[in-house]
Amino acid sequence: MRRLRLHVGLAALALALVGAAARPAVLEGAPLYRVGKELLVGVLFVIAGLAGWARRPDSRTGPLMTAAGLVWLLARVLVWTGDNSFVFTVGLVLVLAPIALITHMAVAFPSGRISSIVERAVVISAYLVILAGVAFLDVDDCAQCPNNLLAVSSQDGTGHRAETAVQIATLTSIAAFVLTLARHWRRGTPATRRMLVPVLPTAWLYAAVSAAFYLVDLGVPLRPVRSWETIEYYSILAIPIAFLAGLLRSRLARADVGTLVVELGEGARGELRGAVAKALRDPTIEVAHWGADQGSYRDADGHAVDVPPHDGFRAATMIERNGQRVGALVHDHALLEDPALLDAVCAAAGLALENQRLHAEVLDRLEEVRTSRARIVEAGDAERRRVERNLHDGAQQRLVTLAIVLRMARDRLGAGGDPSLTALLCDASEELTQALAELRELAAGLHPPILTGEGLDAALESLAERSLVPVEVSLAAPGRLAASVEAAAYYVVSEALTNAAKHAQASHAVVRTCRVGHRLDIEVADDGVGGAAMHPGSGLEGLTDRVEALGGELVLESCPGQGTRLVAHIPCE
Amino acid sequence: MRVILADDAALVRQGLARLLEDNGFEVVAELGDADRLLNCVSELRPDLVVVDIRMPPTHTVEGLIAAIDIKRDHPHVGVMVLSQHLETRYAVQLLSGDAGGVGYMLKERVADISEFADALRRVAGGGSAVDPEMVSRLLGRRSRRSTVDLLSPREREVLALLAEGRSNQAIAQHLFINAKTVESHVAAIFSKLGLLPEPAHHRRVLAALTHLQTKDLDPNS
Repeated sequence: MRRLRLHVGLAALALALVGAAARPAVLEGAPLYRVGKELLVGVLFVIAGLAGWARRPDSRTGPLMTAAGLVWLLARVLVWTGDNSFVFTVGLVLVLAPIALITHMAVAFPSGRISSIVERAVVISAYLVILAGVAFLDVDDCAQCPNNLLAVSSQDGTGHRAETAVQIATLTSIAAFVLTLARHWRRGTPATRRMLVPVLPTAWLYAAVSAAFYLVDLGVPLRPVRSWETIEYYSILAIPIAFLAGLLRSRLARADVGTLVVELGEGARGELRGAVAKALRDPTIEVAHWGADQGSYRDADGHAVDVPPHDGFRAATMIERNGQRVGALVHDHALLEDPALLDAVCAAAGLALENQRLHAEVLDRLEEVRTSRARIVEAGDAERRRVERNLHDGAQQRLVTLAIVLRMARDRLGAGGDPSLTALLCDASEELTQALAELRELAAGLHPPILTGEGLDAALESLAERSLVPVEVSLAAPGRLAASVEAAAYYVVSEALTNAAKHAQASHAVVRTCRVGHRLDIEVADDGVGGAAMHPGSGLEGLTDRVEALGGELVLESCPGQGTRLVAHIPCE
Repeated sequence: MRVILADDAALVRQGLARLLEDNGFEVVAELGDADRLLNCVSELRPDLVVVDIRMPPTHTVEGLIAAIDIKRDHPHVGVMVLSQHLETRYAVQLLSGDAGGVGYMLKERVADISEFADALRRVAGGGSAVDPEMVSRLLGRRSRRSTVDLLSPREREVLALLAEGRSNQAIAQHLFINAKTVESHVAAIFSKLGLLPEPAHHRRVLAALTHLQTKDLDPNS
């Protein structure tokens, strides 16, 4: 608000100056066209300066340009209306001052701040030679005209030599100016160059035209001065337009932030750097995420990133989310000129980095869940083996011993014993045989010893042999696999064959195993009624858990009337 | 008949020892693991070894490996392998050796001592003994195209007894038929199943078992 008032005030001041300069000049009979042409330059500078100032308040280029315009107008007021020599002389100084201000603006473009000693020297020398130039300014001599108090006569030898010295100094200053701009371009990052594109040729043209005048004064034979004046006029007229264009070029990039957000939203993960570089038009950009664990910034590949950077051409901007440091953007120094653009990109990049962090976190959690699931299955298997072993070493042996004892009792009783007792013992033996058979089935269901002892092929052949449904077996996964993989494959086949016999009323089944690289494929197909589904709590669901715990997948195809096909893909070493 | 018993389950081992002693066998050594078994056999020269398949240290097939080693070093010593589970591949492995005199039965068969003693004597005498449950399991498998379907009911009975390791004489006694008839049945069975006649007793058991085991894989054989 304050700035707006200031701008309005400055615009009003410019208008007042235009009026003050134009009125007496027109009244005195100066051609309106010439007066307007002269004042147009100042007005244009003020307009462009205020516009640049409003759009890029962080840059001093706008204020400098406005100042140059106001000084230009004030100079006309003073020179055209000044009725004493002092005011007239001040006016003369101000007539030349915009040239120094333009030099200042160009050298300090786009920030308006001078950043090196060389630049400072160039700018100061410009101010000095301009001030010195006032002494040799060509003023129409007339009786009523006030005097140029700083004038030095170039008619005598000393004066002439001084003029020549000032001219040479001015030319040197112009050359330094041109070279400084060239250096600016050469060292500039793409973002800077983008802004320099309209500024550079205009500034150079103006420098060249100015140089031409001094060269002519020094006696270098150039074309008639008239045409040079026209070129000079238009080249100075082009300057405010070019500088404003340069300032606005960075603003145009703002539109790309929208594209950036859209691109990042579409999930171009890992392409964050490229997208940000595109949005900021700075291929040197680095997007670093803050690794709280390592206490350092890292790029997408995990390499450490220097924040702030050590090469003086780039700067770092912190990326924060909810007050938490999430990363940093290492970018062209020139981008600091447009903090709003930088903020917008940082906000977008912050979102993306946060997303990446959350994504990585979710992946970590998933991995944790997967391993814990695998551990649970493994623990379950170990428990099954333990129980099977306990049954084998305990109950089964005791029952066999009991069978022996019963037999011995029968033998002791002999042929002459109580027949009813013999019958009882026979019944007990038979019950025991039945119990042993059931226990044997139970133990084998818990964990088949042949799987541990002989591996998957043998266990599957054994399974097929016991199956109530005729099974065709085709095994192409020789060698031993991890116990958990063998167990999973075994239980897949076991469950599928049990279902084929119990529910599917199949008359035939096929079991196939195959190893494809680091993957074991198991397929069990039957010609039964189909229509099987993964019900919660069913054996098939348990199998899914078991297979997925190993990072594999279980696929069930069971259309009614088309048989059932159960396929498991399990990663293996 | 001199017998070595090897079983890590002490109760069963002791019970079996007494049962065998009661039935006219002489138990010359009892072992709780398979490690010393081969040395013991070399030393004591028994007629028969009865060994549990699952023993320390890994509790998988120590007894089977010991049995195969014994048959390799002492072809005339009969070996009976006992197990809580029956696996056809183990029976085939045992019978695949050069010599007969091997048996593979469920452990609980010991309680039916007369049958078990009969099997033990067969094994000690160079014959073979395969658990009837395994044979009936193999024979009972349903199949779409099985050569076993070509056999008459009587021939199937003969095949079952043959696969259990019984001699023609024993089969004849069991079925109350003439030994000559059994011989012709066996010839018919081998011809129908497409098997070559096997002169050695354990060879024909092996041929029958492997045929029954693989019938689904290669129905044309």
